Amino acid sequence: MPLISVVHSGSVADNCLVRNDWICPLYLQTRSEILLEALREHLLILVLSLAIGLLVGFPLALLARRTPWLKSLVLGAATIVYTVPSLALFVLVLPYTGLTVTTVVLALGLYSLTIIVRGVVAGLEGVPSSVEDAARGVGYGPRRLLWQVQVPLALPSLIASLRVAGVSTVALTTVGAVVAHGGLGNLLFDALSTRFFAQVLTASVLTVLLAFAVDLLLLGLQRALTPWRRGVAA
Amino acid sequence: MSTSSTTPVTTAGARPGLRRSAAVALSLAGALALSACGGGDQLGGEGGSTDAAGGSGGGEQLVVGGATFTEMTVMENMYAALLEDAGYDVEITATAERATYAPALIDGQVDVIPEYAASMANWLSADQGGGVVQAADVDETLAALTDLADQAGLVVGEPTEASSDNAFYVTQEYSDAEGVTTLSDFAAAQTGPVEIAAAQECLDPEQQPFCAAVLEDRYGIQFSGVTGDEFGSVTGKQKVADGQVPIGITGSTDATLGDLGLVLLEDDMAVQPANNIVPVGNAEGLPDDALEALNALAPVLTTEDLGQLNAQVDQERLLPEDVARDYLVEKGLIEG
Repeated sequence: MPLISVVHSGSVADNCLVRNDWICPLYLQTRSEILLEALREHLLILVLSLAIGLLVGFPLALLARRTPWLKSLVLGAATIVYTVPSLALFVLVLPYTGLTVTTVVLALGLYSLTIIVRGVVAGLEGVPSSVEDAARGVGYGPRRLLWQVQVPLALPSLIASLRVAGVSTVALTTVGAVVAHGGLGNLLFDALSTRFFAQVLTASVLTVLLAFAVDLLLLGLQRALTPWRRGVAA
Repeated sequence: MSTSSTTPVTTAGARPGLRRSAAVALSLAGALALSACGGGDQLGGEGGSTDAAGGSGGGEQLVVGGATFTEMTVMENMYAALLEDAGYDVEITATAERATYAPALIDGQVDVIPEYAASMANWLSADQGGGVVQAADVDETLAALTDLADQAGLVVGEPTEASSDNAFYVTQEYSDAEGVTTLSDFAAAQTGPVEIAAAQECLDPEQQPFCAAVLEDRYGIQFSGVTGDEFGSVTGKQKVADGQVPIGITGSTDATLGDLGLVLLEDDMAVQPANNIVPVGNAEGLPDDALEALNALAPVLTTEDLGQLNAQVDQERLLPEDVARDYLVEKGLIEG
């Protein structure tokens, strides 16, 4: 059996890729475009999933606050959805959306939704009733009360839930590799099955850095949106 | 590698990465439409972007699918390069298991995949409720595959000489110490069931009749389980090399075994079927001239070539798209 085949005949370059080093600058040089592309897909999935989570989760949370039974229904359903493993959720969505990024976005949007609904409900419940009474006393209608009093006061809780959803989405996106759209996960899983250490390390580090960046960005957003809380620990 | 010096490793503007981003943008539009409308029905055929197929060439988009292990990644990149050369805009969407990529081909999300003739014939047969297709002969296997493919709305191109059968390996050390060089030797040396470095589907006699099932039936080797490692994966080989499991599965084109101190066992009863690599396309999604372009590989690609291309990716860590392109240029199938 011709191993180390004829084609190579001693001409195999000795570099960190061939040596399969964990840290390999040549890897970054030769794969920069692929890495950027994967990072871009990862970001796209993250932003869309969070957007779906927020756009659907926020109204759901408002709805849940109307009556106790609606609240237990919405929060109960959210808890059930969150217990479905991500892999199973991708496979459930697969028949409708196929091997597309939509499959991943839908599944992860659903996860973010369940986290965000809880955050918004908790935030709104945490608004002191004395503050709400005072606002009504000076003539605030329900809409102004919501947007100018309740939502601003619920922001820290809402953004805290966004941060949890963001970090968990960054991690779960990698599983999207099962439908060929896992961002950095595609590189990670390919590299694991071929023991390509430089790629395993690079894809993992980038995923972690992305999660950190998202968390910090949302924290910064919260600070900017709630100037009255500056000086209070986040 | 000799070819890389004569061929530019990167060609500006025409890398799959750019096209992939276009595809992502399309899917993004789909996702937005969905989140806006709150219903999934209108997205049913969105994935394929081939529904508008009709005209040929001229920048029409084709999706090449298939498995994600090295050999298939190289093949998919060859298909992509050949189709681009024929004037198509190509995207590669590969997934780990036949259970995801084959249905995607049948329902048109994917237009063409590189496949192993016998394995695909058996998968289709099982999918259609039929029995195992026993054919060690290429022509017989291909005839069976063509019939089954036709039932599923698929078309089959011309097979290459390159054939990658299931092959089983042990450590060189074990082989030397026990004098085990064939699967029959291995069977005789076992006292009980053994675990094998293979994917879960290896144990499924319907999906993979020539994995565990054929070794049990013909050689009498009993299996206690699998490690769950992908077909021919380096992680599976490492487990065998480390002595965690005694035997593993890979393709007969595997050129990396020697480096890990592993050796293939001879299939002395010749139970493995003809797994020549052949393009399988969606009858509606893949235009005739595109299949014609892929058939150009048939008289060229050999088993030995394929083993060397695999090694360039798995050992030299060259990019599969460069390896594929360089090979096609070297063989004069596309312009350099």
